[in-house]
Amino acid sequence: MKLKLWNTKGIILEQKKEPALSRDLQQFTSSQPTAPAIEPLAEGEEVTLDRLIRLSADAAIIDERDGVELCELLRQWKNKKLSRIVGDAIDDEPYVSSQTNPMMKHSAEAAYGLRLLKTALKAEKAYFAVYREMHFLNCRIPTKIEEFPVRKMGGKYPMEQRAVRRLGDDVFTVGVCALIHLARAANQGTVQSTCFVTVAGNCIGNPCNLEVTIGTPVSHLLDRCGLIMDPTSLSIGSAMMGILVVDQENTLVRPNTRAVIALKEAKKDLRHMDCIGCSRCVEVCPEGLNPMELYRASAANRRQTAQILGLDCCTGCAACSYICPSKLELSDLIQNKQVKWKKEEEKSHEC
Amino acid sequence: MSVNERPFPHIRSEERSPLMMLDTAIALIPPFFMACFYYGVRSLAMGAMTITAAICANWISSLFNGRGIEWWDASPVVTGMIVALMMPASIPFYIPVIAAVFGILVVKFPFGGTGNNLFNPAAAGLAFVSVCFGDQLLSYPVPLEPLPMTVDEGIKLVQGPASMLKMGAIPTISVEQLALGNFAGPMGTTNILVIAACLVYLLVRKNVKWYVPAAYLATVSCFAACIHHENITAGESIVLELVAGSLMFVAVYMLSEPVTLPKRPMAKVLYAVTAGIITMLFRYYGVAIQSAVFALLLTNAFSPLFDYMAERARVLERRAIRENE
Repeated sequence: MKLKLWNTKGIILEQKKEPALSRDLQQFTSSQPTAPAIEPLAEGEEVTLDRLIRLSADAAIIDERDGVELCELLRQWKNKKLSRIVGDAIDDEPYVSSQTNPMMKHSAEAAYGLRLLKTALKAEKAYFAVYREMHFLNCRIPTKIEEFPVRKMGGKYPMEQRAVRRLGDDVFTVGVCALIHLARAANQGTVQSTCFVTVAGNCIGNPCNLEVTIGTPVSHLLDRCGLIMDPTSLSIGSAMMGILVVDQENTLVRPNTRAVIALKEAKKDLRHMDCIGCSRCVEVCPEGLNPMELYRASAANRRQTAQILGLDCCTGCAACSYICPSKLELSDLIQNKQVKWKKEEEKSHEC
Repeated sequence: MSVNERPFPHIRSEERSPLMMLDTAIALIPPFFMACFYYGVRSLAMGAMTITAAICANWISSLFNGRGIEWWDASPVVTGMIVALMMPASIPFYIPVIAAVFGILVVKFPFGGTGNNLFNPAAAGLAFVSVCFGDQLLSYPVPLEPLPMTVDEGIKLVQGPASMLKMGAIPTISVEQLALGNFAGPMGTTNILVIAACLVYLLVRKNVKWYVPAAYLATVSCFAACIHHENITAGESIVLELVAGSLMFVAVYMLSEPVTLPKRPMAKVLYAVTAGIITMLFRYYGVAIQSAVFALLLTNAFSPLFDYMAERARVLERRAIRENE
């Protein structure tokens, strides 16, 4: 039996998904859809895995969760047995609803995409998964989308990473947005040229989910949704693990961009203090690490100590930095050192 | 528009270190009011002087450390309050001042100031003055007799139930009086009900983990139930041991001090159990009356060891999981 008691660790984040989640999904595309670019599925054509791999490769469909091509994910399941397929709409980060909203608003396409995969992979079951800890919503999350049930998966942040792990090795998980693009490719033969993005945060006047052309500058999205005040923090991706946007004109939306978050923080929240050893970071670390000790070891460049403490296991979920009452940049430093030392190790191996 | 270049996460919890310290300070206010009720305004004056001395000492040490004056740091306020509440209300003002200043300048400052101390500064200060001014710390004024600001020899001083227990006698105090704290003792540690209410506040504010005081008090109770005076029952022994000295106060306010407490839950429990065992060994076989304070100081020294053990266990567990996979 595997000892994984720390799997219950993490943080409960206030989701703040409304009003974006309930609002209509709006189009923000730069051009009208052109003529079919690829060969769609013919009526009555047998759906095989090879055909779907070709289709998703031609349509350049990207899984929005990690930026991996869908055809690559499908290739891994060739000649492998699987029990279930899960359409992942677990938006476990605050403000972000760019999976749940398209799943509800484009439910027919999402269900068709899941049906195609179920047939091709000969899976026994298929369902959608959404995040359970979403409260005070203005809309009702459906319990069924066509023949597929919608299951709620509860747990503390980072739930999405953990849910994928928890489901097991014989379960194929795929992002809902990728399913929608797969359905479009199969029906209309369109190449993926858009992605679904949540534009939200306390500085956004009209928070909503947009279907955006890939390559649109972040500044255009902000203009579209309106800024009611100047943000102190502008991030692309998510509020927890997103990348800081410094130049909005030259930061472009990518296929795996899920959100643009503009926030204004109080000045007192920006002040750093010394660690008081409260051990809250240890309590919340989903990997069961000791971020405080890792931070100290990383700051002092003690590589071996950091590796013994489990530096390689850090997933960069930033739960430690979120909870730290001294506002220390734990996750940032640990991640930086993890990448830096990994590169150094690879270099030394090459030599 | 200018955005700050702070790395992820872009949202943070509202919890802040000064607020956590302030929470402990807030939880120390009710015992001060009770001390004022039992012993008069002198107890408040003593508290104010001790806190002022602790803050000044902390500022001086911060300046020497090169940190500059940290206005947000409420830890000296907590140290000052704990030191004052652990003193008899009749003690000369300079003794708690010396304890607080010693705790900060000698025990906290040389290790790097707030967040870096190996020993609890308040406990160290109390231990220091217990050694230097032992007799004065063991005679307590009678409660409900307000004290003047200047205490002379005319004030009636008595021994507390903790000293009587130590000498093998059984204190004759009713359960109600014990619960209300209407007996001679350090000015803030006798009000068990008030301390229990403050513990609830600290638990709700997540400043104290329930299992730390629970493990400590359970260990002490087990000892008290197993080894007790032949004229009293196990239950009476437990009540007397828990209530008579400053044990409850230490369990609530000092044991869960974040800096000296180990970081992993198992290590915390081990730490609390060790503190309980050492406290009772000091009570039964030691010479010091403030056994809980001395026991806490000794257990502080083991804290890094417990942390190391817990961390080692996690490393082995991680390795076992990796091998299984």
